[in-house]
Amino acid sequence: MRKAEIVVAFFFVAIGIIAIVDAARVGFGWGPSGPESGFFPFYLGVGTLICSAVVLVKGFREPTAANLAAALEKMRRVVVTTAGGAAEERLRLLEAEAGRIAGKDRLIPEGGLKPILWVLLPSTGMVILTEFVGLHIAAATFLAFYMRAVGKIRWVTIALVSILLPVSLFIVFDKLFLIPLPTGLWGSKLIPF
Amino acid sequence: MIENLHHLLEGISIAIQPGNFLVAMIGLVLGVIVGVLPGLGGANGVAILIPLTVTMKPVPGIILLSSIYWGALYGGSITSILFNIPGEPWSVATTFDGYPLAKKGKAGKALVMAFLSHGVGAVLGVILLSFFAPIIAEFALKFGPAEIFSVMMLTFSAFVGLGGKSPTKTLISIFFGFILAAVGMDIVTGQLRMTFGSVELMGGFNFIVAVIGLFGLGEIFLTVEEGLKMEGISAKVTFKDIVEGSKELVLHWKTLLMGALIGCWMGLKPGGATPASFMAYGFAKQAAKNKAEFGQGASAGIIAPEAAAHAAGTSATLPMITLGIPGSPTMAVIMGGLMIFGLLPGPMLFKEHADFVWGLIGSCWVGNFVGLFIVLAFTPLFAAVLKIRFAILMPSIVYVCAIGAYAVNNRMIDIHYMIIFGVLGYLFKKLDYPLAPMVLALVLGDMAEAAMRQALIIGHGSPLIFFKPPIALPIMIAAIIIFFMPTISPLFKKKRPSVGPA
Repeated sequence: MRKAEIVVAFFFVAIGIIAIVDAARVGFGWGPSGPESGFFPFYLGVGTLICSAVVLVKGFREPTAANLAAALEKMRRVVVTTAGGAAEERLRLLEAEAGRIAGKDRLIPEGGLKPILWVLLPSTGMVILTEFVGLHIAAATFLAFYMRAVGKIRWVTIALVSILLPVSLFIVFDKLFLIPLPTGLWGSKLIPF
Repeated sequence: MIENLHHLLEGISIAIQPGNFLVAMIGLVLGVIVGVLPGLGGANGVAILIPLTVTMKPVPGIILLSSIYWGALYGGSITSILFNIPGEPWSVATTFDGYPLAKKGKAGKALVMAFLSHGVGAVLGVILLSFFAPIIAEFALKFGPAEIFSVMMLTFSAFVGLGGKSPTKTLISIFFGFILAAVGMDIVTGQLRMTFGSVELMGGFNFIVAVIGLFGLGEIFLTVEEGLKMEGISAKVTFKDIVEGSKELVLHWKTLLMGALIGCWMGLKPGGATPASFMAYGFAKQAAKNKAEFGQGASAGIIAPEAAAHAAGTSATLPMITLGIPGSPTMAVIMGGLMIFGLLPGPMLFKEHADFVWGLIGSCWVGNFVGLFIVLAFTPLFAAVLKIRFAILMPSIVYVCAIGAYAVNNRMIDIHYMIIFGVLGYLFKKLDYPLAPMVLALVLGDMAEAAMRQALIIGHGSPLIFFKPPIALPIMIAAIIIFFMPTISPLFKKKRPSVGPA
């Protein structure tokens, strides 16, 4: 969590700098027709910088997992030397609990990244494919792929869903409401009606 | 007053014309489905369907959009009671007692209580809307740029002071939204800002695309990460349930009324529905004789938050149509829909398009009543939607989101933005950056900037113009007080311990 917090704060620092630099380019003072174009973005950029700096400082002050572990180890040694072996068992439990909490504190919980990538990458793939074959065909491919690879769903169901859904959406959007959806480079040739 | 009543009846008669009524029914059913499905909330559902309404006339178009919203509000309670999954943030409080009661085999009764409390909350909200909207609009006609800007300050400081999230992170969200809104052409001077020579960036960022990415894809990432556990309780709503549920409602009429009033009050402020539901739950628990019952399926624990959430959802329409300032992301999207019809929400809307405004208010009455019957009759069907395998639902939702994102402006780049906003939404949620203020800032960006610049021109560059009595000054003072609420309120608590609800 700490790392992600810092990275995202840096992202906002960058956004703030972009806003300020661009505001300086177009001018952020008082022009002939009132405030110049950069006036509003300039103060937005300054505000973003200040706030993200606060988040950054807070983030850096938070103890890292390594720091925490070292502190615990130190404590353990002190307690064991003063209280003896009986305390050691309880301390081990405590450490296990601390470890569990530290694990929970990750941005993405253990085993959580895989399913996210399984959504993110195929979706991105669908978008890229759309540039070539159009949205409906790309989506049909995406539907079939995800249902089979992740859901292990029967082929009959896969065929039904990945054909019926795009066809019905094609009819509703492209034909009934006359909202043309992206056809990509070759889409108009692939669906010639 | 009499005149308004006359307008209201006219509005209702517009809303029950066969064509409009059919549109409302379709919207409600779609809305409930959207509210039930993960990754598709009210804001998102409305956003995706906006392109469809472009081809419609304004009145049926807005009826469709708002009906989806009412439907989604109802849908949220179905998932929270039967599946223990709050479909919307303001349904979280309903899960505390709704799910335990459903587990005890009284799912039908729990649902009936939720729906009826929803109904009562909505009626109170709509009454507020019908009678106060014209008054506020009349008042708002006197607003100049400085006053408009001060109202916006009040809106955003409410997010900082009352939102309950970290004030710094809320501010970052707001600034980020405004910066995104500034990308593209400056409407006053025509200069290009933050485009870096890219043609794609010249078009700027559309907030509907942002909503679909942040709330749609972001929500899906969160859902798959947690590993979706759907342990639903199947339920039918029998006539006996309806009788039992209504009895409970009559028995807890005080709780019901209190919840609805809290909702109406909180709904006027941005982001009000969620805190309203929690507040109402807290008050109900405080007032109850048998506190141990709460969390085990107490009736009051369902009635209070549901009434509050729906009352807040309805009264949130008020600032949107009278001032042009939406209180929630869903309202922002509905407002975006209005702007696509070429209607600028704000006090002038009442003067120039009275038939439209009253048609909308009329459809609030009709939509909420009809919605009640639809959910009472078809709950098992809606719950069955969640029984569809997630591996089928998820890619279908992504597909529909992509259609929505593209169709807003017919730009391919928007689908790319949608994916990026999805990742951002996930990170925001995880790191506790609030999403709603960012979306509102993106929506109101151009308006806020124009108001500020005009006001400064009028005031010859002096920021004192924002503190001009009699209207701007009190609003600004209220904004400042609310902004510093997180700093002020602990001081109060120290002085007077044990007063007020926990």
